[in-house]
Amino acid sequence: MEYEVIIGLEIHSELKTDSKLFCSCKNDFGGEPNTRCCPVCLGLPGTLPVLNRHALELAVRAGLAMNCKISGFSKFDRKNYFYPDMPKAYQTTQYNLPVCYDGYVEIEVDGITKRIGIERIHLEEDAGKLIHDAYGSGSLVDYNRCGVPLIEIVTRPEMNSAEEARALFETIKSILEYTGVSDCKMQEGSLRADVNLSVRPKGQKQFGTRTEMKNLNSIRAVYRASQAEAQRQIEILERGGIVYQETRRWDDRKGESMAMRNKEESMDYRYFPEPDLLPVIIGEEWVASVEKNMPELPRSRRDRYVNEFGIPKYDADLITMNKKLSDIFDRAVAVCGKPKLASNFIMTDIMRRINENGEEILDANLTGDNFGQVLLFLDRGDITHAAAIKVIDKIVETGEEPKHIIDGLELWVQRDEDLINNAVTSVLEANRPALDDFLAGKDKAFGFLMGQVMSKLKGKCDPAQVREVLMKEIDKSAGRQN
Amino acid sequence: MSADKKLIRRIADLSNIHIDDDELEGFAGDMDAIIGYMEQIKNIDTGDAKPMEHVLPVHNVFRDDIPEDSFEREKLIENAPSAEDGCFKVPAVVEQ
Repeated sequence: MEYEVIIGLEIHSELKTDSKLFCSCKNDFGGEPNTRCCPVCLGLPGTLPVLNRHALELAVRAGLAMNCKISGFSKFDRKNYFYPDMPKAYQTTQYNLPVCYDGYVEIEVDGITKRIGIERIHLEEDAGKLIHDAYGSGSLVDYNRCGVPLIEIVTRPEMNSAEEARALFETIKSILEYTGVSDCKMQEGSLRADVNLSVRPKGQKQFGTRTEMKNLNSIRAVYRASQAEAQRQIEILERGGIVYQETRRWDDRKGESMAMRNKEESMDYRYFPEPDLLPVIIGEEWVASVEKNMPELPRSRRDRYVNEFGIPKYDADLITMNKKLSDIFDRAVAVCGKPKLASNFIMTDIMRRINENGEEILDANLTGDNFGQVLLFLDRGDITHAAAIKVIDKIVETGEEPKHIIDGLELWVQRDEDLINNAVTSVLEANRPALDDFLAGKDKAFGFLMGQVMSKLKGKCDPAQVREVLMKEIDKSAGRQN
Repeated sequence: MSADKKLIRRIADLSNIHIDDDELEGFAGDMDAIIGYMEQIKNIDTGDAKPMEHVLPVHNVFRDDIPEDSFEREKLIENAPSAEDGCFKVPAVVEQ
């Protein structure tokens, strides 16, 4: 039987603020446990939370970037649960009046654009972290993350494949990065997703039973978990079994999921309005001012690359998917003035590095400025393509100025004609059979001769110039032969 | 609506409050009285009343996004029943 897969995502993203949501403790990652805490974020009696205005504005910005309506009137609620990661025994969140609602984002899979509805975006606080003690005598709790501002983005169940779920997660990640709402450092848990998934026989109106896969913290995990869960549910139905509504935990290492202990009752969070926080009224003027300060979104940047720079859409898509990469590209183009050269270099050399070493290489030494300078030298013929790759290696490693690196490694292209002439003459003399092959019509022999000359010159000459000299000399010897 | 022993047990579990089985009956009676009292609200005509989202007629109270020094850790964990390595220590929690 054919099945239809239905996926909705809940995405949690930490906001890029300087301080926490309801107190002035620093919003940061890592550090000594419990050093960014105060009576407010520890929920001690007698304290009062006060909302961080910037966090609210970032939530509005996220909403506008995802085509949402912004609530004129919004308020906070308490979600009650007992777990030591939340010392107040409730999470301050938003229940029935979220800041943003009813929006959409567009994703693209296999060249087809699809609109996925955004049900709501609400503000809430993050929880602390439990460190499980190796001796099993207890759990240690670090509340540094407790009270860090989060938005939760809830999509409509409108994705029909793991590919679409992945595309949506990637698209939202890049929107959040571009708008400066979140730094989306997934390795630090600042962006994570829950996948809600059900399957039903094709044509059936009624939804199947859905499961929820919690806390997926990479694009790959969202994709693999969606694929595996769809498969698991289909196999159950094929056997005539029943899919239970449950929360599951994804084990990325094993590539499979397990049902989490399911306390039926625990789903009753007994939400009620938070009396300690006042409601928020967001007027049209305020929304307009947030909109005015909205940074350029990935789609508009992509269109600019295609229309103004003439870069293929596929390349523009890949470059703009990652904000840091796109920023590097923009700056490099400003420095070297050659968008196509820059995009070609990114699509081959830089993409390879990202695939091999991860996105972190974009955080450190490689910048739009030094990359642009390398391209400028390459474009002028001052260094060869192979040399440019070596220079970038060194930049990634040390962050040195391109010019110093090229000086140090002696990579400048030699323009000395005598040097090239001598190399060509000696190669032709030493490789008479290859020359004869070429003259007899074997075109491949030219590449061999060219390689020999370049290697004799240690790759330091402009290949175009070398080629020209080599052609000329070959013509001459052909003339002598006839 | 009325309260029975099952409801009291459920509320007690959710609230993490220990109640012995022989106490359930009594609590159910108390709760029933409270619910009965509140039921009177149903007789009031609220046709023209706007929903009240908050008890105070005040809104938009914010702080600026400026970090300040946090509390001294030693002070914060001073009152904790158990602490270790600068962390609060709680009974071992099985990952749910």
